[in-house]
Amino acid sequence: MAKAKVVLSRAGMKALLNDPGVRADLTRRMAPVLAAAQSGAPVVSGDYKASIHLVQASTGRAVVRVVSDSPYAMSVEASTGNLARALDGAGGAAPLLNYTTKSGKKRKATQAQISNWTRGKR
Amino acid sequence: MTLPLVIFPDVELTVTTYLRAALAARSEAYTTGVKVGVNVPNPRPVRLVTVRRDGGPRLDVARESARIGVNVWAATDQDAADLARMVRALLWSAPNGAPICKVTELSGPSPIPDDVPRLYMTFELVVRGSDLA
Repeated sequence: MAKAKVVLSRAGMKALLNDPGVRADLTRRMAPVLAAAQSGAPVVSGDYKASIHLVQASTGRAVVRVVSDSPYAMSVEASTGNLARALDGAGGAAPLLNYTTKSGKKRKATQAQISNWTRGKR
Repeated sequence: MTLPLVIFPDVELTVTTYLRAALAARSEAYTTGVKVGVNVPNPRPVRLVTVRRDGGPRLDVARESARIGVNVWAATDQDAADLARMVRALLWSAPNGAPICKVTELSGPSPIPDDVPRLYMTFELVVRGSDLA
């Protein structure tokens, strides 16, 4: 029996990683991170909070950053972890859970998939 | 279908307990009298290491990814640098699967302006949960 072979197109992958749709998705994901970083920012003069903003960048792929360019951003981060904590707002791939089908097969699936498969059967 | 009931360890407690014991077992002068905790006591000990959990998501049924921020204080620049290097080395060697499975350094020691020498670094720990069933 013939074996299938998968060959990745490097140019295609690079184009995908720089695709405007990928950048748009990253920007959408970073919006709640920005909001969380701003709402969690300690305020003394307000300079640190006001300095937090989104940066569009490229490192061979689309990159979106939430940064503070305040001179005391590192001190605030060391003392509060404000930006690190805000990262959870980006979400990510849904975690894969173990699921056993009715016929006994074991599968990895997201909670949404499991809910869909078992809808009306509980 | 019922998913297993899995609870994750208190990462701050796990890491501070580990570092406290590991530092106490070292013989280097700069590891003597190091206080390890989650808060900065008043007055601040001369040599202090604090560990703070900064979020991090659950990865799957059994594992979570915990971000931690580690601050190191000491009386001199050299002492702080040495202690930070030791804490960094100890964290890198922490994974044994119970419960820390993997350690990734997000940022190495960086100096932080303070009244005494202070360094800050961040890590991501993959930790294993316990089945409560």
